[in-house]
Amino acid sequence: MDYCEIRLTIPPDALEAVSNLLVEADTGGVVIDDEHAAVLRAYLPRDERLTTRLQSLRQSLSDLVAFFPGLAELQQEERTVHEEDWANAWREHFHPTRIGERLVVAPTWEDFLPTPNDVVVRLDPGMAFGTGTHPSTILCLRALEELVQPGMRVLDIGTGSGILAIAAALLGAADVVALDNDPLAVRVARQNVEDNRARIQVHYAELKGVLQSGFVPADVATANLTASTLVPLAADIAEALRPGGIVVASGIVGTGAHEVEEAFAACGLHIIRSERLEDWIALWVQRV
Amino acid sequence: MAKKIQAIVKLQIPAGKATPAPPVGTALGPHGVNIMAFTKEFNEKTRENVGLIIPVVVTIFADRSFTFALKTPPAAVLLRIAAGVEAGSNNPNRKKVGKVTHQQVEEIARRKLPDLNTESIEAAQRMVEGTARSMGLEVV
Repeated sequence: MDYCEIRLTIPPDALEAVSNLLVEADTGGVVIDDEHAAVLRAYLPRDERLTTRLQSLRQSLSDLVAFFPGLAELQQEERTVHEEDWANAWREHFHPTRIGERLVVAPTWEDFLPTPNDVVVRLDPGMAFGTGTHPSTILCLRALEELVQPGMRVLDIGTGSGILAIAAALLGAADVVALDNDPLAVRVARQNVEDNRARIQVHYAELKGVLQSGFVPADVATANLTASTLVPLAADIAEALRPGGIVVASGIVGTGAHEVEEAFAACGLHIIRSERLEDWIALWVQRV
Repeated sequence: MAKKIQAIVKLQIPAGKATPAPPVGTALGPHGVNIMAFTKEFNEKTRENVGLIIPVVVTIFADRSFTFALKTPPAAVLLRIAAGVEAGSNNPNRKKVGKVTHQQVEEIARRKLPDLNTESIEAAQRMVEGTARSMGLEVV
């Protein structure tokens, strides 16, 4: 998708008013550079509505001149930005990373020579979450290294790039099921599964949907989500685990851990371990 | 050793609902920030304010890691709350949608002052007052 970048150089006293106007124009937000002059950038998709939206934006801006006379000399520039220009820029900075004792995450576009004990997850995360560099993902990968035994059944809820599901499969899990409710993530995950020659079913579905289609409870599950998404899933997560099975619930910050603990306890899930990395907490939770 | 700062990026984006699309992607991508990691962290930390626009200052370090600080809501948001209106006027010259008092303007200016590029409370007040009028709010 291409976007039209609108760049406005405005008098500093109009900064709040103009950024409000841009936000109300449904741009999804603004970038503010007020280091030297006040410069605002906002983006509109380059689609059939663009001309009309730009016109109405110009009208609204000219209405503001009555309140901020300096806006009469407003500098407005427009240019097209292409998704490929910014979406992949960070790739240049993603290199092979050792996560635990054995697991290494390496980008598909770089050479990496593993030692015999290494378990290497090859990854092109694209825009989906899970490069193995985020603390919440690292905590899950370390947990998988400890928990996964050959032959186990593993479930990955909210798989993103597929990194955790792939790690589980490469660590010896016999049967790995992954799911995500974001079609982009599912596409990226399936590609990564293929690149790693792993055998994983990746479903574009909610957890409930997977449970209703004859799912056999798992030995180990990962849910690298957020506290607010983990809480409403508690009952379904309990159903997805065999008695004694363990879920690693990650992506939690601050007081979120208590909310998750309460919701899980109500569904017969008990915290057996809590791991922290930087601000992030992962809970190891067992079904009684 | 303190980490070397590569860039500081200021954004105003919806609490709990940031996506990798512009402006987040275009602002952070070129600096080498993993955009999804930012949106996940931002959404988690702002989930209690869904519906509000939140200013955020992202500090990007030389190793592409980042931190961010959330700021007080924009003056326009605080003004809408003070005036008890849902949205500003689409024709602020003619159509007034509500009122705020000088005292409310001053309170908002004081609250916003630490985030503004000025140390003068008078300048901050003028800015808030101008923002109010531009939204079709009368200052009484």
